[in-house]
Amino acid sequence: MTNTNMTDTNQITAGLPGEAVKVPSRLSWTRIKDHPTLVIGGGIVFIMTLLAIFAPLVAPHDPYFQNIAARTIPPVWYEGGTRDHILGTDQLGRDYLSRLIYGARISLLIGFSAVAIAGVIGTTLGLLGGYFGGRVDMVVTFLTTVRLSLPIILVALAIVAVFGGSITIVVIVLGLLKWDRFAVVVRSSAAQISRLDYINSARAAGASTFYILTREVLPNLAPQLIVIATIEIASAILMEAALSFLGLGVQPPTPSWGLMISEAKSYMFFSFWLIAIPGVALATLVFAINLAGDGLRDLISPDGRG
Amino acid sequence: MTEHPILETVNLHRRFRVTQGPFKPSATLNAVNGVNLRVRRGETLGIVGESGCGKSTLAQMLLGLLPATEGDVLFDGQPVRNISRAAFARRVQPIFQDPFSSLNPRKTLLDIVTMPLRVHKLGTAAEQERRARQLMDRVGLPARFADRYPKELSGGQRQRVAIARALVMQPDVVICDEPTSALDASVQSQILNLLMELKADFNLTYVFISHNLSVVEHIADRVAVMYLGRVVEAAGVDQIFDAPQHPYTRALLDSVLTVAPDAGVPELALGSGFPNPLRPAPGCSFHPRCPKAFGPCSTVVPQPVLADHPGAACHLINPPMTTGAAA
Repeated sequence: MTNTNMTDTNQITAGLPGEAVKVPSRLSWTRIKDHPTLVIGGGIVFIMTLLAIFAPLVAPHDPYFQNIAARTIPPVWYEGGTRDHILGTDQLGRDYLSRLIYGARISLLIGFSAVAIAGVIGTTLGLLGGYFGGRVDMVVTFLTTVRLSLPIILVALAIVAVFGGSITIVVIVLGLLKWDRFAVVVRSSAAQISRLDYINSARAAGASTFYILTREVLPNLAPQLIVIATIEIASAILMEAALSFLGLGVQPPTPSWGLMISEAKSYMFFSFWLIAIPGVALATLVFAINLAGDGLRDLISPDGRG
Repeated sequence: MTEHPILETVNLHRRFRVTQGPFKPSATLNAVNGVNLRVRRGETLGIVGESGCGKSTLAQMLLGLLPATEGDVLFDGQPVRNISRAAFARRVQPIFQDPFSSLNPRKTLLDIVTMPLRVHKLGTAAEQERRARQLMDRVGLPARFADRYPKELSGGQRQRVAIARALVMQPDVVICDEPTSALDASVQSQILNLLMELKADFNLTYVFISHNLSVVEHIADRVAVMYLGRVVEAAGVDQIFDAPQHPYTRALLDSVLTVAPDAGVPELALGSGFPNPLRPAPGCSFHPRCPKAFGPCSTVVPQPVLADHPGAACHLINPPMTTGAAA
């Protein structure tokens, strides 16, 4: 009886005139160029990423090649600098520009992959807690509290001390520890959004919970997610540098910006560029990521549409 | 089979546990307390009552969004809990009160209106779009709006989008939960007229929930008056408005502001404000405010209104059986 009536809605389009009109692409260059922060920040990140990917082609020297005869040569713009080593050489005579370019690989790889893991964990937990509330929310809140009670650097130190330092370990440790901010922010926003009537409309339309969470709730969290992701990427990059500086992250002779700063600290007063150059690179990358994140948030939030 | 009312509630209850504070026991809120209603195919049933009387909880249950604590919602004679969520969704659709929160701000109007079709995978993308555009045209939205976002629209236009979304799957029943109360007076009448036109065009059945009596008088065929989770009076629209029986219905009708210059604010015999729904009065829950309360009102619960039988849950109309209690 009811079933016979329920099939006739399949013929929804019978005999309807009209034609498809293409929805304009949401991200067009004309809109992107209205956001200079995105252009500048994104540009820097993009260039650094390209350099990192094509490091073997771009780097003028082998970053591991030591030359004791050419130690701590200053950058080209100082007295005693040579064109052969534009940014000079380190205490073992390795070309500093080449090490910097290879080091960008480590920083970007660890920053992005750790935050990808953390983002998935935190967003999932936050969405579930915020949408379902009740017991689910209690579990999510408990997990977040437990996580917040663990100091990241100490836990990372302990784990790295046990399992040894490698890029994989650092990525996994940071990924499993840095989801708290995602969870907290997503949870509160999801709880707010879940009470709105467009969620009720989707439920009344018969949408599955998965559909509602991914298509109705998640897109509204994009601005917050982008902001958190940029903060967290920057912080993960700094944390990798800190771990490497402490000797517990990436192991020598792998070039990593943190490790470079660490290795240069005993030469700080004689060859300050050894510490300044990776420091400036790190600061620029972190700054550019934050800038790009701000611009991206403005670009995609409906209120920011020009 | 066609004899079934399209939507029916049988002794419907919904209770919520309410925590009042860390050291207090949690209380039970009877949001909907034994409601019997029948909605016949093609009619408009108006449900009126003050804020907090359980109208919206009832709407949520009629939409299948909230399970009943006790009793059943029947669709076409079948309990709704036996009908699959997807199948039921195709037949019963909502229009919500606030058109600002009922449209996802990140989606274009076209995305919003095609959403139910995409959820049910009805037709190809092009067919869905055609269908949505046709309906948007029918509810009076210019075609150029299709790619716009909700924030670019006025309240009335947003409500038209919500109506188009509700109708895109050709449902049988539309539950309108205060669809006009967030709108300007001039826009209200446009939306009401649109709803009435669409009802005729698409053979719809409406459950129209509102606290605005004149709106209900305009659109409804039958009216149920709710007070603290119960239906206190149900009858045809003419009878409710011309010859109300329950003292609460009379008070509601008296509370309508008129344009008469000397009328001023109507004087009500209702006394104190809205009662605490966590601690409803014994007997008839309306008796502390009722100007005509007498003996049994404070002890005996009045006979509930039966579905399909015009009447009022009031001892004045149906005197209690227990003799001697009457004053």
